[in-house]
Amino acid sequence: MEEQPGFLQEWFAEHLFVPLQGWAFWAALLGTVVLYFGLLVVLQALPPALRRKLTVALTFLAGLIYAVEFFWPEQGNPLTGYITPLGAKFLPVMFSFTIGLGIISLAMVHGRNILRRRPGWGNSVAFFVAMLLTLGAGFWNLASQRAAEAAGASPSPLAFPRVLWRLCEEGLLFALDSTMFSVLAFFIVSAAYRAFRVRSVEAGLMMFTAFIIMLGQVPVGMILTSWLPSEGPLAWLRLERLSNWILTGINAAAIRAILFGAMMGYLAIALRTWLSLERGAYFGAED
Amino acid sequence: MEWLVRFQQIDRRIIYALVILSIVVALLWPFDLPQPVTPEVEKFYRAVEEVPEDKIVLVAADWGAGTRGENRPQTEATIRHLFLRKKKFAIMGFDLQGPQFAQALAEKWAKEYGAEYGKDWCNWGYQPVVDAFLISLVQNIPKAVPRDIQGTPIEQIPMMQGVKNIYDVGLVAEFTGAGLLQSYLRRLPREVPIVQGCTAIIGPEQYTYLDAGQIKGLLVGMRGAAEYEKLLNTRGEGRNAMRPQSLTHLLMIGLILLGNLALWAQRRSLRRR
Repeated sequence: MEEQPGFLQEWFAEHLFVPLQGWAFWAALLGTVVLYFGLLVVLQALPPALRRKLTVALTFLAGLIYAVEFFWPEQGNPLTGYITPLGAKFLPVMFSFTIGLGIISLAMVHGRNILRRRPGWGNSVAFFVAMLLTLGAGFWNLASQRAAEAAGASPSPLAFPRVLWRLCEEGLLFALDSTMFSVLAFFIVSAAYRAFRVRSVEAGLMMFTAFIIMLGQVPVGMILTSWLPSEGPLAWLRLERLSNWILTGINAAAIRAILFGAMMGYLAIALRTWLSLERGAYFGAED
Repeated sequence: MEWLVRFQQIDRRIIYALVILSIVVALLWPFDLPQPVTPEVEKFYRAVEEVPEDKIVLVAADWGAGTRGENRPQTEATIRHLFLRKKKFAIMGFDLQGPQFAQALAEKWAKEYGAEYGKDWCNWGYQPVVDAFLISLVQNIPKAVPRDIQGTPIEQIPMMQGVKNIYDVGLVAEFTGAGLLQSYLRRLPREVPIVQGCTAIIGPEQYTYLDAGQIKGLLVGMRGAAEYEKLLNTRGEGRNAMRPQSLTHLLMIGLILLGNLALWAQRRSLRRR
C-alpha cells in the first residue's frame, strides 16, 4: 500500500516533527512555554461562555479528525497521512505531560496529608521517599551509563548506581507488582469457598459449570475422565472437551452479548462527550 | 452432625495456609501429570509454523510484573519456537515492562539456538500510544519505529531490511493481561494473522474472537503455556506450574464441597428441631 501524502503533510514531516539540536532546541522549548502560558492567559481573560464555546468547538474538531479518518475509505483518504506524525510523535509528547500532571497531583495530595498530620500520614512520607529514591536512582544510573559510554567503556553491572537502580526496579517494583497479583489467588480461594453455596437451582448450575471449568483447566482434572475414549460418541464427556465446549460455545455467546451491550453504551457516551452533551462538561459549573 | 456445621465458617487464615501448603508441596514434589493439548493451542502452534520465510513476527509483550506468572511462560515458549524455526521477530510492547522482560527471555534462549541480535531478532521497545501507533505500523514501520532500544536506526538493522509496513509482518503474537486485543483487531488489516496469549482471567472474553476467526490461536493462562511447551516437546515454567495449579484447584473444589455439605447439615439439623 503506497502512502498518500496529505495537505501540508510533507512540510510538517520536514519542519515540525524533527529533533532539534543546540540553540534551536532551547529556542523552541522557550517559545513553546511562552506560547502555552500566553494561551492560558488569553483563555482565562475570555468570558466563561465564550471559553466554553471555544472548548466545545476544539473538542469537536479534534474528534472529527479521528471519526472522518476512520470512516473515509482507505484509498485516497487525505487524513490517514497525518496519523503517523500524530500517533508516533505528537501523542507521546502529550502523554509525557500527563506524567508531570500525575506527579504534581500526587505530591499535592500527599503533601497536604503530611502538613496537616492526617491519619495515615506516614504512608504519604513513604510515597515521597519511594518516588524520590526511584527517580534519583533512575537518573543517576542513566548519567553513569552515559558517562561510561562517553569514555568508551561498557557500563559495569556492579557499579553502585546500577545496583541501586536494579534494587529499586527488580527488587521492589517488580516484586511488589507480582505480589499484589499473587495475593489474589488466596482471596479467590477464600471468596469461592464462601460464595459458592447451593441455595437455588441457578446457584447449583453455576457451581456445577464452575467445577467443570476448574477441572478442565488443569491436568489433574483431566485424569478423572481419562478412562473415557478420546474418540467416538462418548468422547465429549471428557472434562477437557466439556470445558472447551462451555468456553467456546455457551461462554462465547454470553460474552458476545455483554460486549455488544457494553459497546453500544460506550458509543453513546463517546458521542455525548464528543458533542459536549454531557452535563457539567467544560465549565458546566460556571454556567 | 453439629461438627459438620462448623465447616461453614472456616477461618480465612486456615484457607490461606492450605493454599500455601498445596503450592509448596506441589513445587517440592515433582510428580508428573499428563498434558492434553486443546484445539486453540494447536492453532497457535500452526500459525507460528506457517509464517512465511520472508516475513517477520511481531512479539507484542503487553504485560508487566503483575501477570508475568502467566504471560512469561507463554512468551518464552513462543520465542523458543521462533528461534527453533529460525523465524525472525521484533519485540515491542504497550506495557512499560513487557519489552524488557521479553528481551531478557530472548537473550536467555538466543545462546542456545545460536541466534544474534539484529540478525534474528530486534526490540522496538515500549510504545505509549496504542491505536495511533498501530495505524502508524500499517502505513510505515521505519517512520513509526525510527530506532530500536539500543538507539540503532531501524533501517540499519539487518533483519529489518525490506520491512516497510505491516504487510511485511507475517504474524502478530500478542501477550497480555489487559484488553488490548480489540485495538489490534480494529487497527490492523485482516491479512495480518493475530494470535494471542492472555491471562486466565480474561480468557473467556477472548474465545469470541477465536470463534469468529479474528485470532488464529489462543493460549489461556499457564495452561496455555504448558500445552504449547508440550507441543514443542520441552518442559518449562508452564508445565511445572501445572502441579501447584492442579492441587490448588482441587483444594478449592474440596473447600466448596465442604462448605455446601456444612450448609446441608445445618438445614437438616434445623428441620429436626
